[in-house]
Amino acid sequence: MEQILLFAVLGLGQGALIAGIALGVVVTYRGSGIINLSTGAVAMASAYAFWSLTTGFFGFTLPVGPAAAGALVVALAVGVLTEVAVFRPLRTSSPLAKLAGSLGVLLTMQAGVLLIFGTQPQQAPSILPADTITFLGLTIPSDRFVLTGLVAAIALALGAVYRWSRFGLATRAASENEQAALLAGLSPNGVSLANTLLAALVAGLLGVLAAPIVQVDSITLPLQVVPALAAALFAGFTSLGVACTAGVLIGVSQSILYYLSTQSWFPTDNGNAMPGLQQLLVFALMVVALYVRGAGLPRRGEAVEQRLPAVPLPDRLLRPALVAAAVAVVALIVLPFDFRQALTNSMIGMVIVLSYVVITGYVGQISVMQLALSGTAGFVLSHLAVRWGVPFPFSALGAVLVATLLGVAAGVSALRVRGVSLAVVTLAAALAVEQALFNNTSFGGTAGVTVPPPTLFGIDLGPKADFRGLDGNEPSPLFGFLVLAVTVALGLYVAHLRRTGLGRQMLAVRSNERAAAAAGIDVRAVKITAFAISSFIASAAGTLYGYNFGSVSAARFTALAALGLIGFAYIGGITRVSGALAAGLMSTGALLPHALEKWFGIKGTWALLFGGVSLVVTLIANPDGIAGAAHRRKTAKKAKSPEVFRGFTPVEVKEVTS
Amino acid sequence: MPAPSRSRTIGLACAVMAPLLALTACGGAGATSPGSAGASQTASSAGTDSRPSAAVVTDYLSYVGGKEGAADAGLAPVTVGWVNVEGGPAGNPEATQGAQAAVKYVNEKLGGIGGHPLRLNVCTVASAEEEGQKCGQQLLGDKNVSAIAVGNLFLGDASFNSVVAGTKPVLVGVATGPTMSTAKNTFSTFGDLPHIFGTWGTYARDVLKAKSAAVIHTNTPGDKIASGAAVKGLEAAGLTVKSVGFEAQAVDLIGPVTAAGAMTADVVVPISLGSGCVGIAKALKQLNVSKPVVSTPLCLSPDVAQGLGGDLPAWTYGIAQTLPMDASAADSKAFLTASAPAGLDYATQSKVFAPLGWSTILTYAKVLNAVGADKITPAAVTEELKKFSGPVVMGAAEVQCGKYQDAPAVCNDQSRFYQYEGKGGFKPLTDWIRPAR
Repeated sequence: MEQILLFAVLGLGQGALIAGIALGVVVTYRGSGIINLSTGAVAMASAYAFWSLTTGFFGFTLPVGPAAAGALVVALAVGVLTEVAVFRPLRTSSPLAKLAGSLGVLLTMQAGVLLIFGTQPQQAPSILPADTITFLGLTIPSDRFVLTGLVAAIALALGAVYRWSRFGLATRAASENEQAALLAGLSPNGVSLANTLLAALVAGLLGVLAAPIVQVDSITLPLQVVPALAAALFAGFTSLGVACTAGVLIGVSQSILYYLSTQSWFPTDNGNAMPGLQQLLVFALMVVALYVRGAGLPRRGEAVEQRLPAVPLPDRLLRPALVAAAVAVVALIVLPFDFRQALTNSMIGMVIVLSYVVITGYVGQISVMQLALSGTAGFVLSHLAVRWGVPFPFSALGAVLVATLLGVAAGVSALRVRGVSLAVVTLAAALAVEQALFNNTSFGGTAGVTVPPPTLFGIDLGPKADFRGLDGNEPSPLFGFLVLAVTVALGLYVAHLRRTGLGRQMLAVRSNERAAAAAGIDVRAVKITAFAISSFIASAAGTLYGYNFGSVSAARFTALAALGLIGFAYIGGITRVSGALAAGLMSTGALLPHALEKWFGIKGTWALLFGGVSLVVTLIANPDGIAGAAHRRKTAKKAKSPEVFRGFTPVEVKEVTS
Repeated sequence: MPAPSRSRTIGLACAVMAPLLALTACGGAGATSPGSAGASQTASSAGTDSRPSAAVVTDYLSYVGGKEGAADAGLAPVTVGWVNVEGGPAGNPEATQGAQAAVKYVNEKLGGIGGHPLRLNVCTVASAEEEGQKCGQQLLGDKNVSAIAVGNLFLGDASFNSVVAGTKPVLVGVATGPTMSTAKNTFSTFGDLPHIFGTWGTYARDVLKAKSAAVIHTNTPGDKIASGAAVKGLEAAGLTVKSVGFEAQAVDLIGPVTAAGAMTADVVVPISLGSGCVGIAKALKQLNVSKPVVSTPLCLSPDVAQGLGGDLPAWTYGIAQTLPMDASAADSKAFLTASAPAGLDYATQSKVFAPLGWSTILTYAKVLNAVGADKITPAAVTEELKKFSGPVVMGAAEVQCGKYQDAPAVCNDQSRFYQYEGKGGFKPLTDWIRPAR
């Protein structure tokens, strides 16, 4: 019992950190209606600033006090920049676009600190007392109590500000009804800025104080936003007290769960503690929070109607697909091996993004789980092929089936959840799958698993097949042809889906679920079907990935990689197959990054920075993405053509905006 | 969009290992800042080298079987493929620097390979698994490459090995990537962490007379494999062991240290790096644990010294390599003397992967000379590598490739133990010792 008490107290530190970031999330949401995924990243920026100022990274060293003040200034500067450059321009955008905007900020900040400070984790000095106290015979660091007390005090202070100050009243007014607040003479922009700065200050302070709890790196503090989102969900993104309490309790629960997992009676993973228990706990808590609080987030009565990216009706399908396929076939044969491989990687990336076109572009649901489903299919493929000897293509089909069923199960369980809530809960689910499933040696394991090449009637269709390109090197164009066939087939299907009744129903659901239901559409059936289709596509990509590398490893299917992929999907144009093509060309190991590296020496973190900045710019300046801009140019050109001028439109071009 | 990987493998751990010289300077009076070079070599070792001279490689010319003098630039070069992780967020460019210095040394001093100049076809992995595949394809496609050497391939190794698949032999110093130890026709002359951990049992039983051990490890794929091996090695020596993991980003480790039973165990074995080592050291101090701590060299890095206020933890370190700054070691002296004019400054020499790259190329020079410059084929080199039994430059006197069926690439399971005495001083405690039986 003493041990449980010890671990409960030790968990206060982690809980305080989660609670602090949860407070930042709630404050930002109250001020601007944005679920800010970059709240943890603000803490990261502040922590790096504090570390660099106290260790002489920039050539000079400051005492702890001024360094902490400098770190808070950095946090505020990040807040101002985020508000002015991202949140304010996106004020009239859809909640999904706002969420994606905060994702762009997160990716940009991660890339920024990696470029400035490098990847080596750092240990910032602690400004909290390092001594221990003895409590019931247990040795406990005193900073846990100090940190928890500080966060509780911040929550109380914020609560008082919102309760009794004019600013608090304005914020509450804007958060409850933005239109009414505007009519009352309040400036939503001003309210939003003040709250964003307040959130940045809280997150920045936590970044400075977190030294005794976590290391300073580009991942740890940004990802603390996930449990913080769980706490914010319990608080309905409104109550500071509930967010703070829930955050602390989550940290305490994680710590106790950790202790229990080290006990001999607790199930293990080959002698090691079961991986991912804490992530599973956060995911479970999110599900509970959504059940308890309801699936929806408080509406704000936004002053401006929000618009989703257009989903144009594709005019031609087969001809451009065949032309593109013919070009790809030639390219796979004549290109040198490295570009041949990059083209294959591009096509696999395109297939994954196609799943986002269905679930996000057509139905308006952000599911961060798509990449996790790809990984699941890859691992299942290995088990089917290696352990049970199931031959191709049955092994691939079986893997796709299993992962699709998982995706459908997730969809069914998330039927009450939509929009940004779904994004939040699937982010937690993706983390849980990554940690608990892929890192478990029974399923994935530490060194990854092998995937034998696809062989049909004795013919090797894999990258090592005998038929080589003009340079005679691997990978075999034959495997490229296989990937191309799958890509073209799925691309045609997704494009065709937009033309069908089901596609129109999906768009109706995306636009307004209640209106769709009133129109006689079975919203549940449409959403489950969309989950099934997108899961199938993502799973197909996972099997192609396995064949491509001859192995599957957890590192390729992380939640952070999934967030990056969503970013590229938005940049390419998340509502179009051509957008998936553009996104595929930008994905990891694809043609664009390969060409940039080969010809200009640009690689790695610069690509992350490019992706983050491009995502923000795309959302603000061109929400329809690269493909959308191309489509608009094409449509405008047609509108100017003589046939159109005479009132004769040769091709039906429709856009659905909602 | 390449997102930074969350998991930290042993390889990544190795990737952050920094100039040991520089880190040892952290603790000295008027110490230079982390990352800088310039500490005195004489501050290094307090012990003496008791190893027989035959077990230590100091005469590189006789070792590789070459001819004194320069290679004939007019002859066709012998090309070795070289793969390393560098140029991205993490990596060890010093491994490539060490290899390139060795190539220069072979060409200028050891007569090349049978008179033919030796050259490297370098391919680097920056940040993505896909790049390992590209390197495999590049080196497989280069018909002039009959043998591949690897620096620290902790990323992209799965796709690299999937492409190469034993078609050409691969020689690697330390097998850091999770798939390297099981890769076909691959030879790791310094072994891998899981297999050298058997020696922790020997050391704990025979030297420390320990009966129980607390293993505290990071919950990363590599560290979990290593901790499993440590538990196995310690239990094989008759110790009772409790092993507890913690999340990589955690630095508050009083919980894990308590849960592992460090307060009552006879020996504590941390398997972590960077802030994990700092957290364990702080927790042990806060809990007043004074039992012996036997660590991996992954805790020998400047950030650990910085996190602890300027100096490294005064622990015992088990290492599968002779430390470059062990001034008492004849092989260290030979390496420092020969590699300096070949282009390695002392800061680079002191980084763990520089001598590994140097050692790997010299091993290849020995093997390729034995095959004969005109008879070099992937199959011939593979056969010669299978016969290789040491000694290894900066490594063990004897190695046995293929000894472990579950890890056929692992040639070494021995390590040496050093005591860090503070202020940059390392004292060799043992010669090469083998896993407990």
